[in-house]
Amino acid sequence: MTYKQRRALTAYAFLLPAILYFLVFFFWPIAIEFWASLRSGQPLIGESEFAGLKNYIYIFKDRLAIKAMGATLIYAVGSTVFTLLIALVLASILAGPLKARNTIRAILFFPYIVSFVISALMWKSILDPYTGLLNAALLKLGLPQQYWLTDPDAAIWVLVAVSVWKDIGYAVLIYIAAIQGIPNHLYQAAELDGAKRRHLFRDITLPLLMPTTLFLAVIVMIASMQEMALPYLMTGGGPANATRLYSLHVFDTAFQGLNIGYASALSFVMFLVILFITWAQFKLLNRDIRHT
Amino acid sequence: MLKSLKTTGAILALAAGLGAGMAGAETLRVYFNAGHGYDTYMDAIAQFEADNPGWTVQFEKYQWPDLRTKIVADFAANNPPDLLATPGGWIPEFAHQDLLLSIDDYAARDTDTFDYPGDWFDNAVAKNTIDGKNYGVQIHHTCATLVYNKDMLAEAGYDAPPATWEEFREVAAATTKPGVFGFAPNSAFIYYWPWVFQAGGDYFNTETGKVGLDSEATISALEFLSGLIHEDRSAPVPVAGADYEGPQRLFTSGRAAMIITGPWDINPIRTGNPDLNWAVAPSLTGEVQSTVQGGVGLAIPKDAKHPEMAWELIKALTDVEVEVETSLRYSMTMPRKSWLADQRVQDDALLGQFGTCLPYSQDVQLPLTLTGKFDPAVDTIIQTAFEEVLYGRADAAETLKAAADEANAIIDAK
Amino acid sequence: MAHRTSYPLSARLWIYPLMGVFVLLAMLPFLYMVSLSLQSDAEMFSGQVVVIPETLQFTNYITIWEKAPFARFILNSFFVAGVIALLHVIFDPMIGYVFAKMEFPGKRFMFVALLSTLMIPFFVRLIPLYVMTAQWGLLNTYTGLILPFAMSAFGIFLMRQFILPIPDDLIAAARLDGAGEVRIFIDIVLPQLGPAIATVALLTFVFQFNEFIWPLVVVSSENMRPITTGLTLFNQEFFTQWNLTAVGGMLLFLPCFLLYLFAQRYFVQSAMLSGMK
Repeated sequence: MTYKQRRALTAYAFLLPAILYFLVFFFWPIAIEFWASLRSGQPLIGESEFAGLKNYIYIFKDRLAIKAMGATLIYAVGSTVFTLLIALVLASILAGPLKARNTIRAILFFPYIVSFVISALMWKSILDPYTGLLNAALLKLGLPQQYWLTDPDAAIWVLVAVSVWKDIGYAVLIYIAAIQGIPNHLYQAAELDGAKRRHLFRDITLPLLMPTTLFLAVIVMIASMQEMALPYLMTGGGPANATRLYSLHVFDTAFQGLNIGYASALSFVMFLVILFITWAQFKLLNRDIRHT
Repeated sequence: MLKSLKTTGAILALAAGLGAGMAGAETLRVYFNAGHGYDTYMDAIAQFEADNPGWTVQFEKYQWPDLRTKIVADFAANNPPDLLATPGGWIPEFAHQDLLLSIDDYAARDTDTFDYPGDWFDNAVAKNTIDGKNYGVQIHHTCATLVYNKDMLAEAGYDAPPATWEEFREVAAATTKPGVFGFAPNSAFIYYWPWVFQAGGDYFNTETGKVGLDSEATISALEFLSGLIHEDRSAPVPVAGADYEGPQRLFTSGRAAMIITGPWDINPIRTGNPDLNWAVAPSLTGEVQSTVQGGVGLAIPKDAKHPEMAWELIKALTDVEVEVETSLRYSMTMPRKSWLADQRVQDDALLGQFGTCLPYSQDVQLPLTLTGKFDPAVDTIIQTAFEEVLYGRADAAETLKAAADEANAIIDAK
Repeated sequence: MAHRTSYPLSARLWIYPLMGVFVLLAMLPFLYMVSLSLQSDAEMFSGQVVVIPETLQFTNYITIWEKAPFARFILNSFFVAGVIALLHVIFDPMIGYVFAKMEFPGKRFMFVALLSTLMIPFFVRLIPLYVMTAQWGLLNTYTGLILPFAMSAFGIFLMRQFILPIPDDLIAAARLDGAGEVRIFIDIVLPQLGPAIATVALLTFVFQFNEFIWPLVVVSSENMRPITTGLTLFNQEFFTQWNLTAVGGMLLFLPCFLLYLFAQRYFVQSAMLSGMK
């Protein structure tokens, strides 16, 4: 046995528990779901028969699913863009000479450790147009009332805002660390070259933050494409289905509609979409990284 | 490394040991709604355990959506409880999929001591009758009706609640003032239907096999609601959400003169504002007098391990004496004729009023669930169309027609 | 950039208000939860917006223990989330090391396959997992609660990110000295992973402490419930006991907060490492 082979064997030995674990607890259940996605009737629960791609084809006729896919894209892109943008601004400030910065950073992380179920319910009761805290405060101040949760165009942005609110602390933390990790001599060299101070951020900080941005973009995007708890708790998918995110639709199809076969097909399509988006993010942002 | 692995293994083994041996052979598993763990039921269960030595009732309480997730997973794993509480529609749905046990044999055997279906309201029995067989027993039987603030109506010059749509619209407009609405509608699906039923419409027409969504009646009901909200401004746009509490909160705080609700809101209103001067009125009459019906049914899954004992527990929980006690203490209306006839129930002003809407109330989805073609996607499509009309001010006739076609396609495909 | 000791006054004039707004927003739901947890039943049902309760109802914090076996719920939550975090701390660095520093056929494929598991929502696997757990007789046991979360691609991925920057020379030199991979892992890699391990432990614990859907389906007796599903006992059919739910929210929050305070230092260190790769 060569040295290379021996090392490969050692690697497999290390990996064995993980391989077994992921096969049993991830890939086997996914395989079962894939099997179910090809069947009509009551796969997993009762009688079912092979139906080919029927469940997949039905997705194109399912107006609810298509609308949900659209809402999910808005939600996921909105959450990712705003989380990263706001986090970047806050992190740039907090990386600088600010007195209370450690305290502020710790408080911004609060939403991450409060149970999300609880905080979603709290936001709902704060934003309720008729019985909520916000409108009561606006009324006291003599300001106009907001009706975001009853407005089909605004409601999805409420969800985006809550999602940004939750993730911002983590993103800020990572960004601060990355900014502080940029070697100081790069800035000094640029200043010697006559670069203007306000261009430093654009020309040096931003490009060097690309790997961090990619990491955060992928993580936030993957999580928000799968979001279900937020609309489930805050809006029930309404008004007029404006916040019925895709995962909520899949969950309803499976557990309310008892349509396990079709729900499995919906899940697989989502899996492929997320896979594609992640791949595209890597391609897109990696290209930028190489060019700089 | 190895040592910590061993430790983990030991912990896991210990944990398995702790967990195992909990479910004995003589355990009766019951799934119930978390809001219904009333002391009266707990007492009945304690009595049941005393009467049946060696038996323990494992009473598991969940919210309806959680219970739904759990029971679906259970059916898949062949591990259902012995007794299952259900809100509207589940019993016909599960019965059509051959997941429930018919209770007819038990009922026929015990008819001398336990008069099912004889002592149950007909519309309570119909909920659980599929192809002539009974698959469950109602334990709660409710309807939503008009609830109004007596002081606010009196202030606007009305000493009686409205009885027709015209009167309702007038009273709602008259009681509206800055910060106060004449009527607070509920966004939950079920609350659209009193209006549709009163207009003479239906959810599903068993003769044509189509949804009643695009009928004149449904359109007029939606236009009426839209008029209250957008023209008269006597009602707020309902807030979409997963809960039912909004209108009740406005009513309790004196910011809505009228709401439509059921007996379950008696206690929250009394607790939140003990001084509120309010009353319950009969449902409105449009073309007809009608309203929506709710309730809870008990069913025995086909794969239940102890169906016989589950049946015994059904009898204990729906005993008339238990029903009367429960309804008086927890403001719940019940499905038994002898319950409504009981003097104590008749003497309770609010309960009695909520009881009077039962005869003309309708279970919304029942005509469709009984055919076995029900799909919750139909509800989602209908609700979306309703909300597009009420929130987005889309044209009612056009929107409802498109939604009806979509809903009918789903039903036909089943 | 780092030479100044503070921002100029003109900048501070907008920086502090801006930070004030974000700090307030971050705290708002939490503060509202504290307020709700101290409200009386009447205030909760009144339909009025109550910010500061008339009398602070500390009794809510006692009631919750009487209405349900909350001590047991807390114990269950701690045990399950704790063991899962421990399993992650044991397995994730080891597997992360293999993907970061060892070469073997199929590595790229396995790594992509591993990452792809992140893209499947949990509820998709829910029914098959539940059927398996039932077949193994593990329903309503701690083992059943723990097993589906014993490893996760996220933890492994994070560990790989941390291990990548450890100089290859260091490892190559040790290999030349004849050290086995286990030795290298324990002696060279592991000691450098302190912050990373604290991070994975914290994130895993917080995440599992708040897990809802799996305990919901697996647990069938009240004394096996964690806090999350235990809390739903306070919801009525048509309304919620907001004050008690908020007390439960506080009980969920406090352990995570204390753990965060404790792990924060490592957490920041590890963020510095992961951010750059």
